[in-house]
Amino acid sequence: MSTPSLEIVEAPAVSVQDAGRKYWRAYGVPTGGAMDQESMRQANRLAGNQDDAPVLEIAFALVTLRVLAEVTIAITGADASSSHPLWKSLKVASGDTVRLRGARAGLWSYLALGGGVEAPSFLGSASVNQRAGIGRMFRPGDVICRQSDVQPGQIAGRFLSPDAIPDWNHSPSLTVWPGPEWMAFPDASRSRFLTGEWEISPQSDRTGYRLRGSTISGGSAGILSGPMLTGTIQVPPSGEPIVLMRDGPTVGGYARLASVSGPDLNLLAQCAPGTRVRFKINTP
Amino acid sequence: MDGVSIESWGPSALIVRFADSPSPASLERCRGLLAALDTLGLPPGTEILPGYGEILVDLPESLPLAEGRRLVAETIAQAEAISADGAPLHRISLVYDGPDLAEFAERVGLTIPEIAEIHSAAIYDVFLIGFAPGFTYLGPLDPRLHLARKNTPRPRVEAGSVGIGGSHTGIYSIASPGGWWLLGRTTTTLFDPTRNDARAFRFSLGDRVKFDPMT
Repeated sequence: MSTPSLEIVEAPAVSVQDAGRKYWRAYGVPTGGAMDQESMRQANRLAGNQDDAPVLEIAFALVTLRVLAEVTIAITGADASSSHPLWKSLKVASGDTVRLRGARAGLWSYLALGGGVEAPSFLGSASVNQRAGIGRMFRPGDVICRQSDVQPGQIAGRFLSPDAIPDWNHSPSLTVWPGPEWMAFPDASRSRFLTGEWEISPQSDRTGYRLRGSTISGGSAGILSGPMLTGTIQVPPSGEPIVLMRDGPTVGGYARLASVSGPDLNLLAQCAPGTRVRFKINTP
Repeated sequence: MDGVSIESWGPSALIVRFADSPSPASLERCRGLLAALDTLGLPPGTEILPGYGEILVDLPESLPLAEGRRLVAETIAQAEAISADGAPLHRISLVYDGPDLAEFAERVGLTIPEIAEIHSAAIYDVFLIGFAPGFTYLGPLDPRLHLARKNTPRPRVEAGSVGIGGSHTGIYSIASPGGWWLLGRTTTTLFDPTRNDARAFRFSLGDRVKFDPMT
């Protein structure tokens, strides 16, 4: 049974996301899904859902929701200024207001609804990719229904150990793997990439994060359009690297310097513009 | 198949390299490799993603990479190129009235009618679908129409725009930023997200496309 559970009052950039869309990249469809998959999973576990159930992804931790029925929710991700505690299973009542007023650190918040967020599925996933015409962002007045009713009381009060809550304030050191064109770059460029400190540019979104701080020169000017992994660090002719994020292109013509490891892509996703990051190379 | 190399990329992906430049022969090799990989029975979670000269085999982490590499190498050894004969042919009506037509004509030294004639005479192969959902790269393109992408991309190119970028021609499937020279526009939908399966996509890799000029 689907119960109307939450109403959007204010949502500058909120969408439904899940684990993403598999098996359609050969048709140009990016995997998509929650930018920080780990925080999404934690939200779902706290709310008593399957790890990959659809959740609300809230950019910049900005949202106001009105509660329409007694439901269990859990909010994770960015260190948000919030009306309710984070990283905890909460029971909210009809008439309550849930408000996130911005992020002190981190970028993406996740709100899981006990019983799952009901959302249309396209090619096996509810993840919205508005620029591709797959679903749309939420607007004020939208009503979010619970996919299925769950036993109340079983999980209320569940919380994540404070030690396990990520600290988005420190500058992460991200593990990368060498990309197909890694060796095409001169030693000096590879060394600059690994020793330098890189800043996330404000020109970043769900498709890609641009890096500033230095330039990487000397790689092949372009490649024959080749397949990309999510997390690929491309180097365009400007020399300023771009990390392809969840909604990034499936193929591209810029040299593939490296790719960010799966777990660390979640950490990178939470790096707001201005955050500094470093890279360390892993070898198979 | 000879002349194919396999490299690993990260902990769970393989790059199968089969060509250095796109050509009808490279497309036949690509189709042969895709068909072979498709029947290999790699574990669920495997994603196979072709590019112009490479195929990415993105394996689930449950399969050791060395084992995946061995399976893929055996399959490739047996694979054979698949010819384009019999591939579906799509006829697409196209109005040659794109916003870049005049400047493009000047740069390549042809008249607009000559461009329309050359561009619509060929039967193109779908070399690649990617970049955006349903975005279609077509080739080979007559060398008289080759022109490097525009220096400054447009912030928005409408779906259905047909353009040229370097040695490719192609069709924008969704509205997106783009740096190709826009020659015209078709009303044919390439990507229809209201259809929840493979019918969401008009073309598959290896299909053929012929443009019918309209006035």
